[in-house]
Amino acid sequence: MSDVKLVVCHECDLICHEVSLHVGEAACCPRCHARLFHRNRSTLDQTLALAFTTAILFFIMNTFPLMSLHLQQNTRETSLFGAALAMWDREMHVLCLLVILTTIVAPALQIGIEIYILAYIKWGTRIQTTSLPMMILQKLRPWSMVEVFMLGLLVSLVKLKDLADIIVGPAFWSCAGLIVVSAIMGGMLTPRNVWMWSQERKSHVNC
Amino acid sequence: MSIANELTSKASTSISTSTTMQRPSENRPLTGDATGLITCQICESLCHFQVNDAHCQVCDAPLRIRNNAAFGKSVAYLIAATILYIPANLLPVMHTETIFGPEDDTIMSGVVLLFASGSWPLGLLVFFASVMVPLLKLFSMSFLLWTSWRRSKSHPLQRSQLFRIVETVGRWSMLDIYVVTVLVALVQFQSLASVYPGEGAFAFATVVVLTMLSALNFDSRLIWDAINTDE
Repeated sequence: MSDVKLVVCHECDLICHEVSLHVGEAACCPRCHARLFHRNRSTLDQTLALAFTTAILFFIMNTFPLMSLHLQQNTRETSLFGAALAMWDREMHVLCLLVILTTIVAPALQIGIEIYILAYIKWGTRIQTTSLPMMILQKLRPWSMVEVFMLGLLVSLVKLKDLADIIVGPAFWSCAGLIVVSAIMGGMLTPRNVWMWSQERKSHVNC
Repeated sequence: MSIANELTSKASTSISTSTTMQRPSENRPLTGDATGLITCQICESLCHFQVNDAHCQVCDAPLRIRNNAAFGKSVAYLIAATILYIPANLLPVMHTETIFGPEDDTIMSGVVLLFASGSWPLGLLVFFASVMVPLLKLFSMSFLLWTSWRRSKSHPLQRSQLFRIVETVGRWSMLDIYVVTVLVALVQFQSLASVYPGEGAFAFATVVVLTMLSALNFDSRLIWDAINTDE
């Protein structure tokens, strides 16, 4: 743990005393109630395992069909990328790019960087503190919208249920799984934890 | 570790001097801006910052100090979003061609259709995500920008909480765009039923992105600045 005993609230700029927390507790700013940091029991190995899980689920989500639709003798199925491309075919280029960016590129980068950070701390030979990946990760977070896409899928499912038979594909379920796993991992991969793990590893290497 | 120790000691000295110097207004809260301290968002260590060199002493990440240009950007994005909000609601987001004839759907008519077809929980959900949230964002962001520009001192906690809601809820407006995307991709049965995206979808997506950019550029510390620099 760090020796710093003061925290400046990032939302209202108040200087707060840092308190030591028990596992599962969170410290909030006394003035604006912003969450300053929280402590959980997660270890580097747990987080790394979850990171690999998200990578696998993300791979399934992108390679298998999301859903298929049966109407009389016709069948149509779509994958995530195929859905975005359908927008390109209908002359909606910007929307196509926006959908690809928020559901494929941003989550892929996010998962890639998360694995890079964790693997670097775990197996990296030259331990040095790199802030760039964490910075990119923070900037990327609001633009990765897999959970919103999932809700969109559910809404369109209900809209289509009267029109035709729907068969839900493997990508649908892995999308659902991805949301849960990445939400759990988001709580584990905090700046505080990453910093703590890299300090632990550093002291371990130096000994 | 030694750097962290040094920083703490530096921090405590600067705080003690500043409290003694600012004795007249004792109720004034001690802020990072007044003491030149900031917590790094990447490694969470306490740092000293200068205006011309705002980098974390421990991990070298740029520190999030006040940026005067950000307020203007936030306003600009908000104005653009407000203008685009009109076509986003008037133009059709989706064009359907079925055996019963062609049909244009705007955001609002899509919600009405969901209610009419009996799935009111879903209608309510889409109503919140596509109608309430963008409106809430436009009004809240203008309110927050206006009050912080006027350096209002009333209800800072509530305004802070409002901003937190805007930040978290904002991305869920993309819901309608994804629904249109999935429908366009799946419903392509030539004469039986086909769905095409409308111009409204583009305008709506732009509104969502612009309001998100506006919220990202807004510095919530501005809400508290009027109280920090009291008298």
